[in-house]
Amino acid sequence: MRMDAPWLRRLRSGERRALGAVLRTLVAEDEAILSRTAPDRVAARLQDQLDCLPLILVSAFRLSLLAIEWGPLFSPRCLRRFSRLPLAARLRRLEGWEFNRLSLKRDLFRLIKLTTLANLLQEPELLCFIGYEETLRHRTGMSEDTRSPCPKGIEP
Amino acid sequence: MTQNAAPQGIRDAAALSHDIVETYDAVVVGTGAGGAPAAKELAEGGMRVAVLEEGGCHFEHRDLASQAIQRMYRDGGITATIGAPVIPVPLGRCFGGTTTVNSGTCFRTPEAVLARWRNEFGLQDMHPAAIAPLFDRVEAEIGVAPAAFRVMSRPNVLVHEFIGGEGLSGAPLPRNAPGCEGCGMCCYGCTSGAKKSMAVSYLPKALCAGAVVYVHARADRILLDRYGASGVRAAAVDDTGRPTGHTLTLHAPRVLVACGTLLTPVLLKRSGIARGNRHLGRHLAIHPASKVAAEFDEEIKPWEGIPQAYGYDGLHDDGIMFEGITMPPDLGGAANPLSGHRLAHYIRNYRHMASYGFLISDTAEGRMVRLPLLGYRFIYSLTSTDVRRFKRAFAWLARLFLRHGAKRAWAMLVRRDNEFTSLEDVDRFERSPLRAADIECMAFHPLGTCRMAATPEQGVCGPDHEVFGAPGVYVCDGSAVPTALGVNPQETIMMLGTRLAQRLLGKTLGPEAAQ
Repeated sequence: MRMDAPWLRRLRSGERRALGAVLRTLVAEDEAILSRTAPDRVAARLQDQLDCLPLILVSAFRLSLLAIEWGPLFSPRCLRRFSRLPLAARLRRLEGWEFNRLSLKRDLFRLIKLTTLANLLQEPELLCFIGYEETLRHRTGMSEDTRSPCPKGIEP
Repeated sequence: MTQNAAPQGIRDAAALSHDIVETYDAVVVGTGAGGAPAAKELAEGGMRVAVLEEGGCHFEHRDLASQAIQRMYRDGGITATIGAPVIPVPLGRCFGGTTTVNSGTCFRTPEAVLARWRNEFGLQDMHPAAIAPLFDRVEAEIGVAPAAFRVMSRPNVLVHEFIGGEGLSGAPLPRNAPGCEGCGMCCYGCTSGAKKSMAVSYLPKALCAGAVVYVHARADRILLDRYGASGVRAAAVDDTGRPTGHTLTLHAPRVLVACGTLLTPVLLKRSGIARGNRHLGRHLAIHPASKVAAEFDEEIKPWEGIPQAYGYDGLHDDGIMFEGITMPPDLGGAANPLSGHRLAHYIRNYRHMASYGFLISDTAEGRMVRLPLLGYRFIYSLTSTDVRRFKRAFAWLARLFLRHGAKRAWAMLVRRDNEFTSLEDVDRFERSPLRAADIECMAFHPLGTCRMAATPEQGVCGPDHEVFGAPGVYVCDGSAVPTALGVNPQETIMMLGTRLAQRLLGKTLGPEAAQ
C-alpha cells in the first residue's frame, strides 16, 4: 500500500533554500531571467507538482536536492553548503552531477533540472520577455468571445 | 466556435457514493487509439458496451504546456523505461488516452512491416489489400490529410526549404486535424479542438450509440470464470490516481484490453492471464526519438504553428525517420542538455531557436520486470545499431542546419561537446565514440508487449486478438503490434481496434466501409 502522507511531500525550508540555489545556478544567475521571476511562486508551483507525483519520484527529488546541498561539505576543497558557494563553484558542482559517469546521478540531476526549470519558465513576465505573450493570450483567453485569434492562423 | 465541448453521457466514477455492479455485452478498458474505435464500432453494431478510463475528462485547454502535462499525462509526464539510457515515455491519462496529447501524425502500416508480420508471425490477414478498407474507415472518421504549410511551425518550413535546396524532398505529414489553426499545442490539449483525438471523434459517437463511459475508473483485474472472461473490476480514483474507496464490477463475456503497451501486460499479469506465456511483457519497441536545436539570426518563434508537420524519409532504409518537433518555451527551455551560461543564453534567445527531430526504428527490445518499491517497470537499453543510427541522425541534422545559416547547433547529448559551431565539429563528433547513456531521448510509440501471432509460441494473442488461453479476453492497443513500425503508430492501432470490433460483430469490411 502506498504511503501518501502529505508531510512526506512537503519541502522543508532548507530544501527550498537549496532549490533556490539550484535554480539560480542552472541559469548562471542570469539577471535578464531572474529579474523576471518570483522565487516564492516558482517554489509554490513546484510544491503543487510534487503533491501529485508518485511518492518514489518525490523522494528521489528531495534526496537529490539534499545531496546537492550538503554534498560539498564533505569535499575538502569546499567545506560549505552548496547554497553558500560562489557561482563558479556551484556551476562546477552541478556539472559534476550532469556529466557524472553514474547514470543514476545524471538521471536524478535531469529530474531536478526538468521540474525546476519547467516551473521557472511558467513565470508570465519571463514568457513575455521570451516573446510568448501573444500565444499566451490566445491560449489562456478567459472565454471564447475574448480569446484572441491564434497567432499562426491569422490570414494575411 | 470551439469544438472542445464535452459529450453527454460520461459518468465520473470519482463521484460515486457506492459500489457499482453492472452487466454488458463487452467492456473496453481504455479510451485511446485502440479502445475508442472498438467501443464505437461495437456500440453502433448493437452491443451494450461499457468503457473504462483511468483519467479524467479534459476539454478546456487554457493552461501552459508544462501545466497541461501535470493535468493529462500519467505521473506528471515522468514515466520512463529503465536502462541505458533512461528514456521518458510520456503517456496520456485522460479521456481519449494518448491521442488527446499526441502530435496527430497518421501513417498506415508500411507494407514492408506487414510483410514481416505475415512471414514471421503468421498473420496472413495482414495484407495491404485486406486491411485497406479498415484504414479507409479510420481515415474518414478522423479526417486524415497532409499538414498545410500555412500553419506549420517555422522550423518545419525551414527544413523543407533546406532539403529542397539540396535536391532532396520530404513531404507534409498526414495528420488528423482538419481545420487546424496552428496553435502549436497538439501535445498539451488542442486549443481549438481541430485535432480529431478519440475524445472528439470516436468516443462521442460511441456515447451516441449507447455506450457507457466511466472516467476516473482504473481497471484492477480482469475477471474470469470457467468459460473465460466474465468482466472487469475497477477502482474509482481521483485525478491523481488515488482510490476513492469505491469499486466498479462490470460483468461481460468480452473484455477488450486497450490500456496501452506499458499497462496492458501489467493488467493481464495481475489478472493471472497468459500465465506462462514467455512473450507477455516482452519485445517492447518504443521508437526512441531525439532532436537537434539550432540558433538562427532570424526570429523563428518555434512555438507558433504545428510542431510536427513535415517529414523526410530519405534515411528510412536505415531506420531513421525525420519529423518536426518544437516546444513552447516553458518546456523547450527545460528539455535540453544545457545548463549554466549556455542555458541562460538558450532561454533568452528562444525565439531564435529552431529544432527538428527524428525517431529510430529500434532494434532493441525491452521487457517487463517487477521491482521492489517501483512495481512493474520496463527494462530497455539501446543496441549498438540504435546508437549508430542516433549518431547518424544527429550529424545529418546538425550539418543541415549549419550549412543553411545556423550560428550553432546542439545535439541532445549529455556531454560537454554537444554544441557544434562548424561542420568540422560535426565531423569530430562522428569520429568520436558514442555511448547509449550519452543520448538524451524520449519515446512516444511503445509497442509490442502482448504481440499478435499465429501461435502462443510466438505471441500473446492470436490473429483475432484473443489472448491465448483466455477466451473472451482481447487486446487491441499498441501492445498487440508485433514489431516496431518505423512510423507513428496511432492509425495502425485504430485499425486494429476497428478490425477487432468488426470480427466480434461478425462483419467483413469491403470498399464501402469508408462511407
